[in-house]
Amino acid sequence: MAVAEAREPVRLKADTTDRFGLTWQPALAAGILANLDRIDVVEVIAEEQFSASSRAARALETLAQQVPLLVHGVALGPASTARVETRRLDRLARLVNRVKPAFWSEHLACVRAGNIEIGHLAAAPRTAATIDATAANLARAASVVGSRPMVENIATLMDPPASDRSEADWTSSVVGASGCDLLLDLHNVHANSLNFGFDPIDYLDTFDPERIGAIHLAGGCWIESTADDEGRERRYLDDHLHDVPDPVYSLLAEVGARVRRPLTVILERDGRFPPMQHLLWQLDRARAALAEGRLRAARYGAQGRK
Amino acid sequence: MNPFDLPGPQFLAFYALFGAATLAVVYQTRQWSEAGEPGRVPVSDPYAIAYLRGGPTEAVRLGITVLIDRQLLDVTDDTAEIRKGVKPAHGVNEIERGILEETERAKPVLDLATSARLQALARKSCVPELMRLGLIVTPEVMSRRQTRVVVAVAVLLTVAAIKVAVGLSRNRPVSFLVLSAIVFSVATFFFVRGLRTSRGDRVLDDLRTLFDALRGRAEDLRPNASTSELALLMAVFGLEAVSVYQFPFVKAFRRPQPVGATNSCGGSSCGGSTSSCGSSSGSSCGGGGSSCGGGGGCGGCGGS
Repeated sequence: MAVAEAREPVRLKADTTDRFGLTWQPALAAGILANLDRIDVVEVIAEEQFSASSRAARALETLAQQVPLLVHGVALGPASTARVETRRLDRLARLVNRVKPAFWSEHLACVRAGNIEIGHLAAAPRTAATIDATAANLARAASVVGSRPMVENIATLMDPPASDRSEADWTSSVVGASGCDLLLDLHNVHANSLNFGFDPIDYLDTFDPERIGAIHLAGGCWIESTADDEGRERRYLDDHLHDVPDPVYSLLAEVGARVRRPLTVILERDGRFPPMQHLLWQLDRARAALAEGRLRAARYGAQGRK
Repeated sequence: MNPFDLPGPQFLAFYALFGAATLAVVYQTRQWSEAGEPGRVPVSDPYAIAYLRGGPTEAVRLGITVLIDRQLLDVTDDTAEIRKGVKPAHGVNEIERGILEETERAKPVLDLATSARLQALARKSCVPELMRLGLIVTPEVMSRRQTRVVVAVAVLLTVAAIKVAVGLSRNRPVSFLVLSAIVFSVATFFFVRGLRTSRGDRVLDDLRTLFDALRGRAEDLRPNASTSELALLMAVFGLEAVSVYQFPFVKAFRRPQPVGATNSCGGSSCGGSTSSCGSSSGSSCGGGGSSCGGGGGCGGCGGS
């Protein structure tokens, strides 16, 4: 509680059509449901629902009647030259049909090769071939599920080999080729910018602002790994176990200055849960950051950008 | 084949099946007629959930717990009293304000939880919304339940009466059949009972599923740190889910064991927070003279 009490809540109001929420975690259930006046939307992880008992599935339907839900996939793996599995798409389609989310989303990641599950969201080689294959997979997913997913940029600790373009260019091309909107994970942008030394603002400017439909916020930490002969190397890991760092709020304000459409902002927290009030305080900071960016754009137009 | 021509034992078997089928029909029609999508339910209102689970007593007990956790109410020796400087207006709803008014003079927690005035306040505060949502029984629903049961009992008794008449005309014993008819008729009346509709049952069950993880970490909840979570935990799962170690005052809700009575901690141990030992720290466990330790367990009070 000391953490929550030490800080005054930020109460600037964002555009009334922007929505702010959290990823559903059973450990946070009471906190979320007790604070629906401050939580507009809840994101559920699709794969966690696939193996749910009928009782849990029914409870999810009841939850969907209390608060708008989003369905977020982590294991479809569309960023691959291999076709996404029909079995997974079927399950996703059933879940989307049952829960009727505002939208569903998936990572632009490769999660399996052959029949081997990597168990990780891996970046695909950034080439024209993977752009086409990813767009084809997303088209197939949209056809089976009945709606296009939003696609999320991922964090990576290594540049995928055989790439011939930057992450921003590749992601932007996939968005263009697939017609899917972007779920922009600002912490992933922040982490990749730290690990690969690019300017996150340049990254944002690669995208058509009107294709950005949702935002993910999260936290991470520095890790040390044995690199080459030069010794140990620090990498920034997107672990969803820490608070959202300040630069991510600044990026959110930058997004607010660029994007005019309503945005859905989700705070992802997968463990080491702080008191609920602290998570709500982070949501309030996000509201304030987005509102600040929108206000800047309203006052100064394009010059409101950094 | 006319079932009324069946010999006694066969007819009794037939009647048992017929009675069971009648009960099943009454149950299913009740389920169907009261079911439906829950819609928006008051998931953020622990008082409504507590009422849904256990009626007005549970809503009042929740209010007492919340006020103690918010440090508006003190409990000493199972007696609750409003804290100095606290006013009834500090309660956030009618139930809380009523409890604070009642405790302007110290009052035993058990009496408070069963106070007719507070229960009336709980009803006034929770029932209209729960009825509007179809989660608890309205007079119309109760009337439908009664009609179904009356029809079912009439059918059961008519069938039995015909066979009794046939049996008596043939000088056969009918006492087992009369007994069966009474048993099935009484059993049918159980389907009139119940505070919740089947939709209410579903909502409560779904909330238990959604809050399952909260129950798992009930021991982690700290006093005066997360009252809203404590309130929802207690609302959904009841007092038994609240850690007596973290919230020792909840023992005050338990009726003290009469001296000399065998407590429910049979055997050598009675660990856990739900033991019925003692009503307050240091009170003695009836019987054998061993003492129930405070703070949640009642180590080693074997039955006397």
